[in-house]
Amino acid sequence: MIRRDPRAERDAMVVSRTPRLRLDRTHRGGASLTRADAPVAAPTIIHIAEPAFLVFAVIEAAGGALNRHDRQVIGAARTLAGRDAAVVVLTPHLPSQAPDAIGTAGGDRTITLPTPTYDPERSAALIAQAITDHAPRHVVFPESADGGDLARRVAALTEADLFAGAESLTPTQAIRPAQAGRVELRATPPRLISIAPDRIAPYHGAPHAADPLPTPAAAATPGGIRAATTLAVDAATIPLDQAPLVIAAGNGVTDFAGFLDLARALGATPGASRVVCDAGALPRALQVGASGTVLNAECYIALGISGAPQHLQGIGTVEHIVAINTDLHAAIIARAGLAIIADAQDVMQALRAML
Amino acid sequence: MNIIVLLSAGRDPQSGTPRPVPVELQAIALALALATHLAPTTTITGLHAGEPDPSVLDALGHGLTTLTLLRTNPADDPLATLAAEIDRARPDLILAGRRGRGGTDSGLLPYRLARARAMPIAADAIAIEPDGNDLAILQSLPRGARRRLTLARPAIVTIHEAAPPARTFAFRARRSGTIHEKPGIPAPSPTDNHEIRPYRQRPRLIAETTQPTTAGHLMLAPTPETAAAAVLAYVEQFRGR
Amino acid sequence: MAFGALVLLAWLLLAGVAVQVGRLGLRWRRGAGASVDWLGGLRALPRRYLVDVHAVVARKPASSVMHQAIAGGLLAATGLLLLAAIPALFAAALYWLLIALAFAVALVGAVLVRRRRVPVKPASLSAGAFLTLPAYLGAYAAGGLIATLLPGVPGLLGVALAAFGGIGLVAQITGGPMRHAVAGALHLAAHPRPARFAGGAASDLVPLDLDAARLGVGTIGDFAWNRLLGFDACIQCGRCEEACPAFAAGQPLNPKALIQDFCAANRKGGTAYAGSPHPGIASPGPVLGVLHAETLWSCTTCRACVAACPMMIEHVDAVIDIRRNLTLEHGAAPGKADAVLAALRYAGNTGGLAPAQRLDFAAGLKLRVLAPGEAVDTLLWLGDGAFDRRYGATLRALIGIMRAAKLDFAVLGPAERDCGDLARRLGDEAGFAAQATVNVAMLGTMSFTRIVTADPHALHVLRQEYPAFGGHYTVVHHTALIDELITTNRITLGPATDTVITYHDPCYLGRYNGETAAPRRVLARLTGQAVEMARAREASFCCGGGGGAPVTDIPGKQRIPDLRMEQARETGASLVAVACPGCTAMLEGVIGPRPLVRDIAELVHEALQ
Repeated sequence: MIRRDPRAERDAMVVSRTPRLRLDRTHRGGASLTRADAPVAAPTIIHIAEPAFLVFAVIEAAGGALNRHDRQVIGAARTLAGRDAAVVVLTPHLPSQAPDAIGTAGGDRTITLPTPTYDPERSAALIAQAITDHAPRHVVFPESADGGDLARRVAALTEADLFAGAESLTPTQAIRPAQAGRVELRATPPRLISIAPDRIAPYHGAPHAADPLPTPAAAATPGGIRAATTLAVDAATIPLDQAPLVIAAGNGVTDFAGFLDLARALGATPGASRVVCDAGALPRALQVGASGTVLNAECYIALGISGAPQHLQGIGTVEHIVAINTDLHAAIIARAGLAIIADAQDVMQALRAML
Repeated sequence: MNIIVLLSAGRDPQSGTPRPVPVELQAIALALALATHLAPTTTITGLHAGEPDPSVLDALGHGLTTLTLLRTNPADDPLATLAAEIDRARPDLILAGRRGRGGTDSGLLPYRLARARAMPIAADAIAIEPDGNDLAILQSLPRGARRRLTLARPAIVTIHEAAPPARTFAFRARRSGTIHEKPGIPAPSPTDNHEIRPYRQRPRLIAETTQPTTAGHLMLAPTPETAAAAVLAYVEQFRGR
Repeated sequence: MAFGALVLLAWLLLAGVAVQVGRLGLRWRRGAGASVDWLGGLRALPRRYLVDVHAVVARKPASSVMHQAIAGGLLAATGLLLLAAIPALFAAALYWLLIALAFAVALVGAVLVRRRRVPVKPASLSAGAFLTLPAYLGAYAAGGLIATLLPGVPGLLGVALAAFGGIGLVAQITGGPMRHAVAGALHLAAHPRPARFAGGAASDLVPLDLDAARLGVGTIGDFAWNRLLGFDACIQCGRCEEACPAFAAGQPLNPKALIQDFCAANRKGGTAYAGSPHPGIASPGPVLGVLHAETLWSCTTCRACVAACPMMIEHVDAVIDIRRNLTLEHGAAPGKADAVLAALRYAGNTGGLAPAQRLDFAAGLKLRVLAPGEAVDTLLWLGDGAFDRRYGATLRALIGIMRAAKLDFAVLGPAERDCGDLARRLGDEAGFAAQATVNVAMLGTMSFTRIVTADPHALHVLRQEYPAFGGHYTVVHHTALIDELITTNRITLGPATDTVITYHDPCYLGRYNGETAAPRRVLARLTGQAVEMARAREASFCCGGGGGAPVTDIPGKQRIPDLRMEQARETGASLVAVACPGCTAMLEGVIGPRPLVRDIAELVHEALQ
């Protein structure tokens, strides 16, 4: 049983202390996570020359750089490895400065997987070969779209079970939800683990020396995936409930052609308040709120929207909210990360001019 | 073309009562859409290994007309049962939800099945079209991105929540669907050492590196230009990660 | 000579009527079977006509005079003529004077009928065959009058005129307005819901046999024959059209056109409908070969049309019958209906939320949760409004009042499931039956003397619709409870304020259950300035929240709650008192400057001393 530390939990919920304290209470309860805020005292580089065992961390490194989830994967592997074992980071080809980033994130070795194009069958075969070659105690994957797919391919190839979507991880216990999220499974960390995003803290200790290991040799076999092309994203066509960035027009907007033009220029998906849809200014499909679409966006820009309870229910899980409204006392102002008391129409035009 | 839709025993996340897995219902809708592209001889069959769980039977209300029910102990490993049925039915395409909702919810079974039957597998499809002897798959990626894949047949494709909505529920169809019941292959799962507890919400990490400096910031009557610049700066910070 | 011809004409017309009724009867026979108490119905006919119908007709005095003159004059004159075949009567000069008087009254009636549409036809009245009707009526009445008063050739000419008019009227029995006269009388005798004449249940939604070959109404012949008869009783007076909130909001529903669609679906040819159409939608549509589904989904089931109909036609039950077919057989309920019905099916509430969340609103209140086997005096049925933060405030106020009155009460907590109102109105009878069965079984494990609820929809379902599932309860609306607590001095209120308050009658409390007095009595204790909206009590205008309308979300030109709020504004009230979670949500959703919206429970709780 982890003892709860209310002060640490509250600290972990701090979004910002200035100019006013805001707490993110959207995710209630639970034991506090180790806060990874220990300052790096000395730039000593940790070498683990004779590892007790190995832990693999498979990262995506999309665009040649580590993202949050990648760092969390390496952090999870680091947790499992402790001080005596080595974390081997399996990564696509990275630019030359990237090994430093891997070491900083807690990796001791790197294995580069030569997959220039999207070829999950080949990637899985290479990882399976690396597992055969190095016999790691654990392999940690990100439970992301491609990462989760890869983890399952490796699990099927190696005929191992996958502890999918772990939300808590210590060297002795892994926890994941199951049965429609109504229960959680607890187990000694098995060999293959994928970790849910933003659940396991990244590593913040002294950097490790990330030394390269040879690329595994696996025979290329003709795969079933014959071709793959990634399509450009057109924000305007992303379904509203999947859009990462949504800009919505309310009563304070009068120029709807200009609004749609701004959304296009900003690369944001357009939305609207109920009033605007009722008036027929924008189609009903764009309505944000409990009776319209409930958003899963990361950022939401509300132009001239006061924030009726129904509307706020539609943006309940959005972390970053910009509200532009003439009414200081509008409900949305209290909910916003950036609140601007101004005429939405004017700001809209200024924004368009800047893009 | 012969399409099989794998159905699992789902549970409502709130009440725990049997409920079809939404993404599997979307798989049925995709199969029906695919059938309109193909010869009228296309057959779509639901396949479930386990007991006649109400959640699986309810899938018949969502456009599925035929369900093959392979009776096994719900605790059994369904792999052998499903593999044997696939050998018998020789489908061109097997659809599954990307994750179950009500069991272990690991999403591993389609991959094990693909491995067992040496079929290619593609994940997170939102659209499927025939492409000669292959299949053209549109795959959903995070943040609204899409990837187009060409996949050899026969194949297993898992369906993403971003796929078109499921057919609406019709009580009459639920009652009149055909159910073929056959015995499955008993295969007791190896006992795992999982401890099961009620789920507990844990706090998510708050990204310290991506906290916008303007968080919680209030600007009173700025010039439109100042306001616009602040908005752009805020949006860019969140996009930067 | 002329007298004899006139009597002969009357008998010939009667034969004509008999033939026409036979033709109509063949039409009605297409309908499904229904058991009708003919004897009781015919015996009750005069009372139903003179009391029930007249009460509705008399709401428009001019129409009442018109109808008394034309119907009374016509029936009296023709009836007397038929009896004139008796030689003794035929010979009595005084008798013929009586006939002349009846024809004179009918002639006045014919003029009044004409005046309804000439020179200006009100929008809610139909044109078409209705424009020739006064001519036939006038010809028959004037001809009869001439024939009874003038001897010789003019008298014979009068008979010819009467024959022209009479034949025209008889012809209009199958295809035109006169169908109303025949079908109306039979409809009153064979009414599908005779309980309504005794002030009984407000709808006739019988549980379906879910294994039946046809679920609900999929073709016109699936309606019971006496419902088809009822539709033919419509005289297109347009009162339902004037009453309908969906029509007012420009949604594609006109209840008058709807009934005429049903009539058209059940006949070939005949005169075309010439009244206002369903707004914004082209006829005919695919449903029953005449209707668009949007028309049916626009209905808020508020029953304003049913309450306004002088012919006692049951529009809403017909709408639900077709919705049942659309939903159960085709899964065709639009908008968010499928998602909401699924939430209800699998989570037991329309929001798909965790059952335990029903008590979230009462955090800190330490409510007693009734367990199986336990007993309590008053069971507080929370309803699905409990999941809504806004309505939680109302429930907290009500609980405060009940505690102040020291009532012995408890809630069901997570065991409570939605009553199923939304499922039933959306046509998901299977879903409704499932909810009702579970709730009735659950309530059966507990002991209580009455159920109190703040939700009129739950009140109606528990009181009027659960008996068919074996659940018989005393159900009290919270406004009635508060009224009782005030009257019995269980609670004391502060002095009345001078806030101008208007009360919005919830349809399911006022029209469905006839409870309009208790909330007004309570309100009179709260303010000295209670004002009434033009449409109140049984004529109240829906908030737009009933019948699943917010879920199916059929677009119109305006929103119903905006219209209702405008009516509230017109009273000058600064506060609209409500008594239903649906009305609260709909009226509070009106934007712009408007009166406050407060539940009566909230107002009483604030005034507690």
